[in-house]
Amino acid sequence: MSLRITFDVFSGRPNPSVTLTDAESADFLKRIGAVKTAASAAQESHTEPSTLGYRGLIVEQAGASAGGLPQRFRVSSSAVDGPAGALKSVAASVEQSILGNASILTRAGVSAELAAVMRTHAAAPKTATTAAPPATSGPLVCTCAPLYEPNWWNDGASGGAKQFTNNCYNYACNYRTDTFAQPGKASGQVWNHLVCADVGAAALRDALTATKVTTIKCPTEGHLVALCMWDTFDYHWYRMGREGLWSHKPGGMPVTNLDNSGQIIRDPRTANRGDYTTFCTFMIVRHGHIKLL
Amino acid sequence: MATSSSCNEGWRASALIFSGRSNPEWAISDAIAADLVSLWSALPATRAREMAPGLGYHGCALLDARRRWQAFDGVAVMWSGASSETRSDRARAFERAILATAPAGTIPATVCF
Repeated sequence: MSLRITFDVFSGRPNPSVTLTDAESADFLKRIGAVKTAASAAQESHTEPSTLGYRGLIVEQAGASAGGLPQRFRVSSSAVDGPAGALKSVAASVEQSILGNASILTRAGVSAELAAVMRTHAAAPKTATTAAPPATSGPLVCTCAPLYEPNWWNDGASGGAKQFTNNCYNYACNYRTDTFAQPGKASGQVWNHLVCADVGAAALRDALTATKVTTIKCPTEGHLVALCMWDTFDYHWYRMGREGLWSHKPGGMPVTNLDNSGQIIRDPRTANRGDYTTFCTFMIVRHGHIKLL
Repeated sequence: MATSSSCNEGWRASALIFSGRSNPEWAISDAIAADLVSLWSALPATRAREMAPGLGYHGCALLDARRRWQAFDGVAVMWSGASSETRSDRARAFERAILATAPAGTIPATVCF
């Protein structure tokens, strides 16, 4: 019997993993103990963690499963969860026995710094993922705006194509085309010059809506986007999310909610935008109205 | 390193600069691609780390039908499907070698690497 342990910690890049020796596997399973019945376990509530940062250990059993445990289960926050739901509670030391084992961590390629972070997260009390927005949230809640869900877009490290084939315009409009969409292309006339007026007009032809914004607020329908310009070279778009904060996708790079200074973006007009120093305008994306290509 | 005129359409390189418009991309010959891959293969392995996204120049890429190499900030990663290998490119030799294959005028002169 051998176990494969995956440290579920990263969002974009692959998680580190390691195969335990037979002795290590037996010791870990002994610490977990047996599960009585799968039926009773399935009646308990179950939620897959969707937070950023360390989320627990994913355990996969090679060959016959042991102790009534499923082939694949998760150990996190003193709980063991299977595909159908919570299986049992265990001592916090079960998870820490892996996170504190230097040999296992080294074989998994986990640095001392990352191990320390995971141990700290594992020991910290957990809050429900459906709790109130994090402290970094702004005061606005725009119920029509898209969720900030970077993991859906950031699939480059796992071999996906969404990240590399969708750009800032795709992301801002929440409209995946896998074509690096260009303003105006769907309406038959793409932008000609990389200046605010030209790219803005092209976006209007794609059925984005012009709006005058002095104070940022939620539009009645759809969500706000913002156009900026690196004059004569390129354009860039941001979008305002449901929690009232802004995020963006720099070209084929991953989606982020940080500006070039690493700061949360509360207003794209004042964010560090690198070479995209010209702020053009805000627009509204009305869902279902626009077409991108 | 010069760009060959007898290019296999399967090999391409790209400078990752722009956010909205398409990044500059150019074809690379099999021979030059082989040199670049050899250069990458000779780099020491290092621990994977995320390349922080930001506006502006953020590296360059070498691609064929199945694989993608991306170099930036002292790290050169090769992805093949869902797997990846990370090499240390502290001297940015691999990154600069890819950029050196760009035909003249492909990359805006104002872009700082």
